[in-house]
Amino acid sequence: MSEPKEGVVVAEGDKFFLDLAGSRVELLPQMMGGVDNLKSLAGQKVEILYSEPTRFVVGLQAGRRPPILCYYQPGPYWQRTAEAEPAPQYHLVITDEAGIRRPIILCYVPAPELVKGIEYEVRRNLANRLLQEGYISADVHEKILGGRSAT
Amino acid sequence: MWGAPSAPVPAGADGEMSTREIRDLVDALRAEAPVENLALSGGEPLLRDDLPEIVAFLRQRGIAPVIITNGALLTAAKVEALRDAVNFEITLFSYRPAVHDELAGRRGAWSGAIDAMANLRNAGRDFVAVFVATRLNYMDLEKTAELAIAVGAYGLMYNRVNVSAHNLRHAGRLLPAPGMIRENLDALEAIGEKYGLAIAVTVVVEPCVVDVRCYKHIHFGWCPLAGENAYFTIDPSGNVRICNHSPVLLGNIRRGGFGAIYRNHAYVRRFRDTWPAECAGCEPELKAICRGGCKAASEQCYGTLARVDPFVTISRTLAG
Repeated sequence: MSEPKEGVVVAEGDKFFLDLAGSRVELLPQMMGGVDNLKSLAGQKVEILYSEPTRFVVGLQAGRRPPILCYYQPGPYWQRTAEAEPAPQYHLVITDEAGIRRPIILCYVPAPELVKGIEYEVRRNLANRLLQEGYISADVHEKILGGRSAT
Repeated sequence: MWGAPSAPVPAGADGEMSTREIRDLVDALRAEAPVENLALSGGEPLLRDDLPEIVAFLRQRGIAPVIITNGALLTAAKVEALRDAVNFEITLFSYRPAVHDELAGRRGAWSGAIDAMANLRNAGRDFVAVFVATRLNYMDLEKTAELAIAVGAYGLMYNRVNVSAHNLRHAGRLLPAPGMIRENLDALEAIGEKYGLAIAVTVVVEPCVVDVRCYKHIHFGWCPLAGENAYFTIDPSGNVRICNHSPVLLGNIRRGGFGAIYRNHAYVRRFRDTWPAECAGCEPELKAICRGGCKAASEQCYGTLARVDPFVTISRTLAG
C-alpha cells in the first residue's frame, strides 16, 4: 500500500482537515487537543509516522518531548485502503517537522478504544451464519449486508 | 463530559426551548464548564426538526454530539442531514422482532432500528447498539450482539434495566437476576475478545451483586458523583438534573447559571457525600469501584440517597 509520508493540516471555516496527498480526513478538535491546538497546526506540513500493524496506540504530537495531545484513528482514507488490502490495523502518529522522528510512545490504548468497525468479511460471515441457523430471515440478511462502506 | 437532554423528565413549566435558546444555552454552558460531549436524547430527539441545526452548531463549538435514538426516524436522508454527529446510539432489545417490539411498545420498532443501523453503515457513520437487559430478553443477548456487529456496529452497550419509581412494582418480573447478568457478561467478554470491539456497561452493576473485576474486555461505568466527567442532564425546558435517572430538579438553567448549581447546590454536595447505609460493611476495594452504586435509583424509589440502589436489595430475592 502506498502510504503518504506527510500531510498538511488545513483549516476551512470552523473545521480542520488533514490533507493526505489530495485525500482529506477531518480532524475533530475534541480528539485533537482542542481548536486552539489545531489552529496552531493549520497550514503546517506534518509528518506521518506509522506504528506497527498491531492493535495499539498513538497520538498527534507536536514539539519536542511532547505529551500525547490526542488520539487519532484511521479515517476514511484508511478504510478505503483497508478494503483493497484487508487486515492492516494501521494507526498514525503525527508530528510536526520539529517533532521526534521516532516518537516515544507515552501510553498504549487498547484497540477497542480506537479502532472502529468490523471488517466486511467478518460481518458477512456472521450474517451468513445467523441466516443459516435461522436467527434472521433472507430479507434481513440482504438488508444488513446492503452496503460495504460502514467499516 | 457533560451530558444534556435526556430520558423521561418531569414536566417543565416553561415549555421546550427554541433553537435559539438551545444555542444560547450551549454558549452559556461552555463559558462555565469544559463541555466536551453532549448527548441528545429524549424521548426521541429526531422528533425535533431542528436537530441537524443543533448538531451542526455543537460541532462548530467544538463539542462532540452523540444522538441517542430508537432509530424509527433515522432515514438515509436524516443520516445525511446529521452529518455533524460523531456517534449514534441505537437500542436493540433482541434479534427477534417480536421481542424487540414488545419491549419497545410499538409494532415495527425492530425494523426501524435495523433500517437505521443499515442507513448509518451505508453512510459510513459510527454507531453503537444498546442492549437493555431485562428478564424478558437477557437470553437473546449473544445473538443480538452478533446481529448488531453484522449490521456494522462498532461497539456495544449493555445496560441492565434500571429501577425507577415507575417500574419498581414490576421489578421482580423485569430485573435480570445476578446469574443472568453474569451469563450476559460472560458472553460479552467472549465477543469482545473475539471481535475486538468496544463494549461498555453504563448502568451500574454493583460488584456486591456481580463481581465484574474478572471482565477484561468490558468497560464498566460508575457514577461520577456529579464531579469530574459527570453527565448532568438538561431537559427540553432547561431544568437541570444530576443525571438522566435522577428525579431531582436542581434549578433551571434559563434562570441561573450552571456553575452555581455545580459548585454550590446543597443537593449536589449531598449526592457526592452520602453513602448508602447498607454499604458501611462493604470491603474498601469494592467501595472504591462502586462509589455507592446508583444513588439516583434510590432517590427515585425511596426518596433518599441514604439507601442502597434497589437493584442490590431486589436482586437478592431474584431466582435465576
